[in-house]
Amino acid sequence: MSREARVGIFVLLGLIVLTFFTFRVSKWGLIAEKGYRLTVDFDTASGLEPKSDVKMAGVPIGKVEEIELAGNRARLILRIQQGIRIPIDSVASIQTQGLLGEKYVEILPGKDVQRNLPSGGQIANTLSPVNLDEMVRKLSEIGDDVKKFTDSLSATFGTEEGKKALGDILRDVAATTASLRTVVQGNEARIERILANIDRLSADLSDISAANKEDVRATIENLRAFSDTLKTETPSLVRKLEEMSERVSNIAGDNRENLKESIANLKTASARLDNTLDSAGRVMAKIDRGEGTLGKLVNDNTVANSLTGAFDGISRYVGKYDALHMTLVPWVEYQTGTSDWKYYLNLKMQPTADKYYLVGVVNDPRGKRTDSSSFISVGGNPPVETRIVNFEDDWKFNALLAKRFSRITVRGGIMESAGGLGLEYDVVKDRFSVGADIFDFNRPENNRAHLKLYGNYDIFKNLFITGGADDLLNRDSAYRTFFLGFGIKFPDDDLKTVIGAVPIKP
Amino acid sequence: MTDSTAKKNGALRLAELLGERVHAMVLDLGAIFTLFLQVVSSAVRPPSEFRNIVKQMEEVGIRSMPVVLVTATFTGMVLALQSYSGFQRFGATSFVGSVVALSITRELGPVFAGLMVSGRVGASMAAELGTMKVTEQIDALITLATNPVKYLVVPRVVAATIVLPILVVFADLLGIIGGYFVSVYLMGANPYVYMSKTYQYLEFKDIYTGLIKASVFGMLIALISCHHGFVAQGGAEGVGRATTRAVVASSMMVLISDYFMTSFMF
Repeated sequence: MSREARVGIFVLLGLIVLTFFTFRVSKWGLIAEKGYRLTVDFDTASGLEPKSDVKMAGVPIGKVEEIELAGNRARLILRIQQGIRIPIDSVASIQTQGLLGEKYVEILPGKDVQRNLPSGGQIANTLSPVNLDEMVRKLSEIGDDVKKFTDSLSATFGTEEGKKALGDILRDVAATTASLRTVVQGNEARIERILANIDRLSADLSDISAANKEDVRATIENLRAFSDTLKTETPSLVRKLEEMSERVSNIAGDNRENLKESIANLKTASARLDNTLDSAGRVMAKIDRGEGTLGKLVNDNTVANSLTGAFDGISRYVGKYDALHMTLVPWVEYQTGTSDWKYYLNLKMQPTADKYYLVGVVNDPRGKRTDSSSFISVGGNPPVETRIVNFEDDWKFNALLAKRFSRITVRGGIMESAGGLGLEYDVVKDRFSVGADIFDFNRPENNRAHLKLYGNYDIFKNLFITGGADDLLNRDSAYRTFFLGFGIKFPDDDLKTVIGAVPIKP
Repeated sequence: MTDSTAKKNGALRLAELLGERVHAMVLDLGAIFTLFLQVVSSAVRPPSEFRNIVKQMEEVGIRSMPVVLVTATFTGMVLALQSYSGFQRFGATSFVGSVVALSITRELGPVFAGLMVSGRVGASMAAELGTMKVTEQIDALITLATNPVKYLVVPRVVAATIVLPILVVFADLLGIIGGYFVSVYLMGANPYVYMSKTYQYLEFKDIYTGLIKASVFGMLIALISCHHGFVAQGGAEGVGRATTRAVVASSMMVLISDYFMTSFMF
């Protein structure tokens, strides 16, 4: 095979594959779309997508080409394959494959097979798609009813009593039928005789009536005569009745005054009722017009708005309060320089993840400093000045505001009763952090500010150890010290309730 | 004092080094662009290099078929495997077909074909032209009044530009087939659903943007490789260096230009 031929075959094959792809995938492609278009409107096309199937009797006959909004309904444009005829009275519906599967458009063919929908026509009849939620709700209602019924059934028959009663009934029925059977069996001959007698009796009766036809006729004649007499006698009877009723009315006449009073009472009562209803109507009308407090409440939107606002505020406040995490953190530090313990008790209030407030007290073994100088002269030498510095422990307090930027927390405020700033870095998130605090810039004797470097490590969730160096910048080496310590974190929810009264700005 | 001078020198050295690199890169880019203009201007002039182009098409296209097709098949297979295990977690395994088809046609087919061609063909172009350069065959061509760009570069560039999209068409097909086999025979997907999903969300645009990209890759690979071959100097070692540079530069260019083209055509 020549080189040209090989290249030619290569290119040709490539083009063939490309053409194959084009035909398979193209929505518009390079060729005109086959088939014809129909439109159909639905209340919702939720779940349908362009290229969803259109099926008739479960057989795919086209695709949904476009979905657009017509008014506030969904208009689907369907592309139906050439040669598929859809009767004009067909019904379109959106169906789901399985319970949760893909949606497709199902066309239920109509009866009018003589007239078919033309290209561009609209399917007028649609069925709203079944809302799965609604269906499930209805099903569960039905289920509830069934359950109630079976519950009462089981309450009746499920109990020992019910079972016993049922058993008794069945036993009675059995006994009755058994005795009936024995009666019938034991008296077959007699029953036969009775039946024969009845037979004979009816025969006799028929004979008698035939033989006494004349008598029967005479009896009927008598009856007629009686009704005739009755007719002639009726006026006198009526008169007697009239007399009786007159007597009754006389009795009523004697009590006429009483009756009158009763009726008058009824009248005034109904009039009062009328009045009451009238005034109620007036009140309602007033409310309706927006007059008065109630009317304002009912008719004025601002009231509702302000109420909503108030509720919003309350819920925001409550939310804030709920979101506020409080942690009580006591810890101690052993300072190597002074061989003394320093105690801390801080309350950390965290309204959001990136912000917290800290208030607390510190018991500092070197909190209070007293300087005294004395001149001592030993053995006639010039006196030597001896300075004695005394420390006493003292209470100091913290009040800090901290803001967190990713892993870095910046905090500032009052540190150990002096202004200060701090920076903390989370080396391992919520586990290991290092930081530096600098505070007390205005110290006596021109000393430099108090710098504290520290690292905190959480051994468990609630127990942490701390360590570092304190007062590093101090000129006096006696102040500089390393420290080691540990502390506990109480994420105390009860605490919150206790301090619940503290107002928090929403 | 001496310390700070040394420091300054160090910093300056760093800046110099950076400057040299950038300068060299700009020079390279300029040379490649000039070569491109030369190719365009000499390609439209007679006589046509038809036989040469066909020869290069065989070299770039047919000879690269096996490597491109194997790469594409396995790419499709691994893509199906991976997306299956991913989609299984939220129960969307029926979309594996769509994902494989879209990824292959839009991105992986063109890029892998481009990388393979740049490794196979770019290296051979740079080595061939580099050898001609260091053995002064190109100078000989010039003395024979033959334009080396027209004779050597134009056929390669034109062939690569034409052939790469064709390679990608095959790569798309094989990639989808590979994904199909893995999904249907290994993962037990429904073959009919798989194929219908493959075509349902695939549009013609996905395929032709891939082909346009492939075409540009082909042109870039040929241009860069020829350029590095042309500027080779220093005997066999220089040819080796030129080959390496050609492959590295054209592979990088494939990936970089891929991003920009995709963002334009998205």
